[in-house]
Amino acid sequence: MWGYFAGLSWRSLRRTPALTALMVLTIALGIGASMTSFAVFRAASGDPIPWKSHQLFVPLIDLWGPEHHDDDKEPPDALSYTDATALMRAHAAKRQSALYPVGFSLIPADASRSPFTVQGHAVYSEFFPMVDVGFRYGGSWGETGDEQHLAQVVISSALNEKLFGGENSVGREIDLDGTRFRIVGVLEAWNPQPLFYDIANGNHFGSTDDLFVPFNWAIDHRMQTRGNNNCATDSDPGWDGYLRSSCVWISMLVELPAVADAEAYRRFLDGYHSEQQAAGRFDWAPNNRLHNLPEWLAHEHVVPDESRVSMLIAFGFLIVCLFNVIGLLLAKFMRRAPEIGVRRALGASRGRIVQQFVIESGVIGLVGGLLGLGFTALGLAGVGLIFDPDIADLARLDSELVLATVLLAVIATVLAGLFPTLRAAQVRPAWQLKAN
Amino acid sequence: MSLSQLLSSLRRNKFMALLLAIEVAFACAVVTNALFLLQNKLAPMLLSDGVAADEVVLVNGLINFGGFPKTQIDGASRALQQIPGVRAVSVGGLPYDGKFQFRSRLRPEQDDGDAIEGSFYLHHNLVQALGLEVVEGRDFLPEERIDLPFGKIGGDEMSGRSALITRGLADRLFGEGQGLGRSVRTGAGESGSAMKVVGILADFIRPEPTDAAVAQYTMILPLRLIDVPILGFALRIDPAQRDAVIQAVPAALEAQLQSQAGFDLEVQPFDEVRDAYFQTSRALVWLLLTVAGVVVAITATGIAGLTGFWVQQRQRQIGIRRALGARRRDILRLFQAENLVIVLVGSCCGLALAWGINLLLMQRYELPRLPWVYLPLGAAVLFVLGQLAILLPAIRATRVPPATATRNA
Repeated sequence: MWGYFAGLSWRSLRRTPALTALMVLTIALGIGASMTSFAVFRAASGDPIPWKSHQLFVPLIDLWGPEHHDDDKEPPDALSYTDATALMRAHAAKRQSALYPVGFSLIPADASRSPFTVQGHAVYSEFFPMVDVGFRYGGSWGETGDEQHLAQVVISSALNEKLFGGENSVGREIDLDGTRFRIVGVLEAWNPQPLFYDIANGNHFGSTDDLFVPFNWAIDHRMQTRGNNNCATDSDPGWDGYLRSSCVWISMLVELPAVADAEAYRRFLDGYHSEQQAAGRFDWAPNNRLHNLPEWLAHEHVVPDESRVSMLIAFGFLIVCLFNVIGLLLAKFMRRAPEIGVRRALGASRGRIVQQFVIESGVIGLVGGLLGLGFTALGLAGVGLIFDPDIADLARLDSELVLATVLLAVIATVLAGLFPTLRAAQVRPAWQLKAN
Repeated sequence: MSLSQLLSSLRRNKFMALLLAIEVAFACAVVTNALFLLQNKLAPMLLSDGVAADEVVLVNGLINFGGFPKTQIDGASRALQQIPGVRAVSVGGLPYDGKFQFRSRLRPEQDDGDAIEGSFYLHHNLVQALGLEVVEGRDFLPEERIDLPFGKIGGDEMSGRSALITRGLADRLFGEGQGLGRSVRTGAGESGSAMKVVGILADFIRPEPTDAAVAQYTMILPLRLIDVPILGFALRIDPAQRDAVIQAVPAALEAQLQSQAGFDLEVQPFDEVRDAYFQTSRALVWLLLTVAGVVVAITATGIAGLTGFWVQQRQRQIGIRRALGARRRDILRLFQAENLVIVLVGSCCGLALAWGINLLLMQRYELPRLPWVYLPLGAAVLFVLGQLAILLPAIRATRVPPATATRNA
């Protein structure tokens, strides 16, 4: 019976090619626009470390006070050196790492190759197990490396490939800005998008770290941050003056496995504030924050506003298209009232009529969805013109999206066809036969 | 024809009318918001940036994490100055470059009111190098131009310096036509630095002009950064020798800036830098225009399609009207009036919806409030659209012969 109805629909659609084409095109446009913007949104809003994102937290301390607040009363989005090192010393979380972005010129041992710029982060050794990154060779510099301020480095697999052709390079040395660094570990291929451990510096997509050096080494050697530096007040001269200042330039990531741990850490932060208040540093009430990773990504607008706004517009557009299809289907179905009358008189039940028209709208939806798939592919090819190309690269037409596109088209069209279908099923056979 | 007559005919076709009204409402909401976003993206592109564009070449992409020392910066500036065709050189952050910029909260010295956010450029010779127009006061004097180590920005080093600010910023801070000779303070409370306004610029754009309303809140300080990780050069050139200058720049710089790492040097005419900066906005403007256009087209076909069907359904009714003395013109009017009522109801709901969407966008995504003029504008677009869309089916309706009334239906 279904096959028979499908055949009937096909014949009926071919009888009115212009109207059918209009409906198919309308659906395809609406679906194409919606799915393109959805694909970009999905790419940008992905959780870079889904198995652990609710256990990773970013603590913030209101060290500037209400005088420097914007309207939203939020503390600055990074820490000063004073507070970051105090939190590291307190060691109140399971794992924690202060970190900031650094850059070097790498001078290859082979003199015939020209130097190139590498970028990475200065971190503590606990950073690696905290973000669950595996090592292909070797491991981190460990607590001894942290404490002894050693010139040791963990490099990415990409850099290892570039310098050593992918072989085990642990124990070898590289020259960074004139300092010999010993390689202690080579990471597995790792490219978290967005770069979740350093959201405050704004390079969310497309950037990958080549290497990681010990935080304490970087501070000893007066490595300035490659990222943002915000100061509310003047700092004393020199590097030591800068470290003592209230300038914020260091990010912090802590691991708190249980809900109770997060509560305890919150109390710890407020306690730290009170201590500092007692010492005369802050004269305002605690206003600290402890965002888990998903909250932090939202707070820092990692998903570009353009992406959300375009999704809103695209789905509004889809709704317009669907209402249009309702109207066109109604016109199409009601024009066939005489045919329905004849079929009913010959014994077709209302259910049969409903079935037939549901299938007919489904066929329209299917064709519209397939065409919409083409529009989505076209849209994704051009999306790099509008969004950050690094986000656009992440937005792909995979099997999941293909399935979602076609399904959405069919379901939406069948829903749109529901009212016209029910109206068609209510045609009274006697009245129609008489009218003819 | 009376209103009650009109309404009763619409009531008889409740669903059709409702369907059209809903479609009109959503179309209205989408078109209004799309046009508004479009205007927001377009506005910064239409602003005057104050730069003598055809006489300016920008040099970007000089990065050295260790910092460029004063000797290298001096050497590079001199080498650039000596290229034939170069009239002025200035080193520091550049317009349409977000990588290296300084922002601060600014307020008049004698005022503890709300601060506004502005950007400042740190340059010795930017007025000459970009061809900016000083409308009041003067450019910096030689003795005002000093060097500042990168680490000391925001420090006491800035206090008491001279500053050039734009007309827009001066008017906003000090009131219309005021500003020359007054002091601007950065930061909050007692801690900020105060700088004296020695000149007012006609226009000058901030490094990243995203919001047209505040894109001119710009200030120049006569400080040149040294030991700085990023260098940018602005060159004022003889337009006739532009290509020769662009050719000569890389060699001149390479001789002076011995960096261990190679540079991704970008030497571009000002217009190209500007075009590249607005590429995304331009694409978005086209996209929004297309979306608005397609929504309008689809709504038009929807209205035309449904009205056509409606006319067909009501052949007999039209015939009776004609038989009872209605002229063709009256039939046309009937359909026009019906469409008017539907579009009116639809766009009222649509405008409420548009307003709601805008409120949502405002709360969650730092978007400005929808100016009220967009609302009647959106309604007007749909009104014209509706009247045009029904024209064809309505004219077909006027051709229904009165004799139809006598037929069985």
